[in-house]
Amino acid sequence: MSERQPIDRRAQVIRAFTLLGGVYFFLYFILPETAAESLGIKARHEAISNGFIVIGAMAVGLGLFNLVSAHGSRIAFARKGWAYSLALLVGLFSMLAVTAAQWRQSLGITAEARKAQIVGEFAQRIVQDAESHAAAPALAVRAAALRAYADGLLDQIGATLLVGPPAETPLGIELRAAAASLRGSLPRLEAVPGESLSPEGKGALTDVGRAGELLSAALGAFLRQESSSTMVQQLYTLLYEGLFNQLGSAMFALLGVYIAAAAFRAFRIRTVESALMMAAALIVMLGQISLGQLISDELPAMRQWLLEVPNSAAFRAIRLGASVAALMLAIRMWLSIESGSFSSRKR
Amino acid sequence: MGGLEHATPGILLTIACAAVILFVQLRRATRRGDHFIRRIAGVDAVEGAIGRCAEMGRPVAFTTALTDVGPVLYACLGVLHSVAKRVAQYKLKLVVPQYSPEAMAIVEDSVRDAYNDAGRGAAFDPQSIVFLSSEQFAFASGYMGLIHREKAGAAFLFGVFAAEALVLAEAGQQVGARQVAASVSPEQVAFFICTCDYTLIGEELFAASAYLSREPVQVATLAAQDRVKLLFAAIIVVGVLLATLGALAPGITLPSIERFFTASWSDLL
Amino acid sequence: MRRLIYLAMILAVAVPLLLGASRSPSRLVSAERMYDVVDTLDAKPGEVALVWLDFGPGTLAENEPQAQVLLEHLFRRRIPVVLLSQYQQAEAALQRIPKEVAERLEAELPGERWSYGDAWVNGGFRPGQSIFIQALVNAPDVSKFLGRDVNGMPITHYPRFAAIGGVEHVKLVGEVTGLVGVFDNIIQFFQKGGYRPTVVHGCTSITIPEAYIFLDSGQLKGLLEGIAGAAWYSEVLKRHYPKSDNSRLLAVNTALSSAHVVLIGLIILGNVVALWQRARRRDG
Repeated sequence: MSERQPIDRRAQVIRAFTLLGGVYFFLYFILPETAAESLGIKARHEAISNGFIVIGAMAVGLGLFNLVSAHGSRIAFARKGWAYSLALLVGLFSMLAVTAAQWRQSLGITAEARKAQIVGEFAQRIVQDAESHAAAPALAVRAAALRAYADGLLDQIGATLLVGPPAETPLGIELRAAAASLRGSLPRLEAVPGESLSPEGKGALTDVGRAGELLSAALGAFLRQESSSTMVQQLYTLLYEGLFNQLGSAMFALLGVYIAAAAFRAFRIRTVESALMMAAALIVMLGQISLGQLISDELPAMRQWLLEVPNSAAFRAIRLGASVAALMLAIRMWLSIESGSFSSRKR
Repeated sequence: MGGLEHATPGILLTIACAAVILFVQLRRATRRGDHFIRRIAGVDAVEGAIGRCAEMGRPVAFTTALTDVGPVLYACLGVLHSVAKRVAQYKLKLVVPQYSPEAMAIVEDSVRDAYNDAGRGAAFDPQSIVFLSSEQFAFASGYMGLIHREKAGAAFLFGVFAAEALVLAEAGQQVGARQVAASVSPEQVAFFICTCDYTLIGEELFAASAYLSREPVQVATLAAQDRVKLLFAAIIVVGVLLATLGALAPGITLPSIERFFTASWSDLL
Repeated sequence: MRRLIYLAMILAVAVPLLLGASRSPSRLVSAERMYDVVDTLDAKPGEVALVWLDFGPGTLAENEPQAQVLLEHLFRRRIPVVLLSQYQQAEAALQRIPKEVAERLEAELPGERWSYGDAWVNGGFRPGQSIFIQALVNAPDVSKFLGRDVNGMPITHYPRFAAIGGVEHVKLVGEVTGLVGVFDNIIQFFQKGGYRPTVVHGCTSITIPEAYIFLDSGQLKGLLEGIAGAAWYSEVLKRHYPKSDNSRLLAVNTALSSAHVVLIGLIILGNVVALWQRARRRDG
């Protein structure tokens, strides 16, 4: 009498999610563009795709947890190599802390610049609402509110930022000019009438809006310049550009010496095929250096032919084969057609 | 011609043919016996490399490098499962350095299953799956350190590789590990050939899993891959012949393979 | 022996650089094709070139010269450039490289200006890769879609970039990268019904064989093959603009050539040694 396998609910749920997740993208791909538009899918596609990216980004937390638990336990139990684990965790948390602080600083700068952006956006909104006859407070009231806000902002900038040596730097001068430009355009808002928007009023609002945008950019640039001398930014620059970038470059540079060692060790002419390979390698290498032209003027052309004909043929064949295999596996993954090999139902 | 956002009728038909071929092969797999798979030297060497580690008492390293969750990872897991099962049977240490946090959970599950299948579930150590970094060269330097410290006797490099491929393989060379590499990135194959004992090229990575396990589903997928490739080869030959004829006899109107793939629904209807 | 090889390679690169040795680069047809494409680009007012700088510190040595020569040529032709990146680590390059090129041109041609907002805008890092590219391609107005530049200014604020319109007005797409998959995103997704862009590419030496597939099929109109490609491109640029300074790039290319020669020498030496050892074993 055969035993019935218990129903694996967990596996069923996973299969259902896998199928549903793939169905949307598959349908989006096979539906014609016009159908996707009429169903409203096209308009929402970007948001849906971004949602999947966000879910994937959550996995970074998994990696962090693994790092901390693996290396933390090594430190806690003083296992072999615990000092290296300590160095790793110190580096990890230092970088996290400095990056978080730098991010907060950037957010602060963005928030300050946003205050000036609001001037431009509000001016634009007043014009849009007036032209579309949207229900909104009276034009003159809104223009007065815009002026009051802009005046307050300019006073604040003048009192807190445009003082001392920073104000004399090129970016400080630019900020002062942008502030003066906005202040100069504000009196024209008196031309904005209470009822419908006149051409003069529209011109005034447009000028104020543009000046507000300019001020926002100048303010952002000035604040970034000021923050570059703060400890947070300097630490960030040291860790990121001074350490991380240079280490990455150094690791990449290792490739140059490693390929030399590998070539010396492995490039041996033992058969006809290896001799052909060697000849091709020499032609390609000599064809792209100036010494090659001293040997023969035809070398660059021979190199070109090797890359365009046999190389392209081989690469296309490999890519085609790998793509077909990936397609087959993707269909299997989507439909959860799994073998017992690496997803055993026995627990 | 439209972009690749939406399938044209020709592409849809091709995908449908490929899917039908796959399902037919999968159905046959449950009835018929073993398909023939030609010998792949690199895959044969996997067993030998693990046996060597057992003799020397050295650990085995398996990395999927820059592979994210997708078909390539799926293929690598098949090989990893076989390797992990063998490692469990020989009571060796397995080290699986990871680049992608998303893939890590799946890899851990696969290795645990392999240990269970070998009847050594209790010996599975979750800490053998080590997350190094999601940064390419930070991962490479972490891998180098790991290989040197552990003095791996065998290193298996399966998956998607970029410039760090040579760094990884050279690290294994330096400690005298027996190395088998399989990359879907053709430009890295040259570096692996210089530094590894065996190299699988392109889709041999996908075949390796079926070759090792001989599972009917995986072998059937391999058979389907070959048939679909034949289909594409036939399309290429027909397309080249038609294009050549068209060039030689411009007066004759001939069907165009390019048109078959690029004509949109609105062109047809 | 390994350490000797490492030393030989380091010396092969360092000595020419220190001595300032400079030789004329080898002619590369792919770089010439790219030159011709950029030189004959017909960009009407409102039309732009979109250049992606997708490289970090690892491939800076190869990709930065490529970005420099491409931007220099576009700037000389007064074609407005929108700079973007799919790679977060490229943000520093997006800021620095166009500024350096502009300063160099202004020093060469006093009285002429290449200023931010006129010659180029920096759209910064944009996450989402293929999803972002598809959305960009389908946007009715690229200027509005890109929103603000890295300084927080709306791109529509700058007159030459104010009304790009649909992606059909992007006359050139340049992709300078050493990353895997990034160039594929451009080839696959930067297109739509009735529009195929003119794509040029600056790649690292490792990805040259793969880039040739696209050059051969016509999907790519021009290619800079590592530093050698950038060096030849700069030579062609110098022929048309004699005051253009490419001495540093030629020096770097010469150092690279020297490393190639040493590498070839090592390969030959390895084979000679192996043959000699085999002969010794046969003899006794």
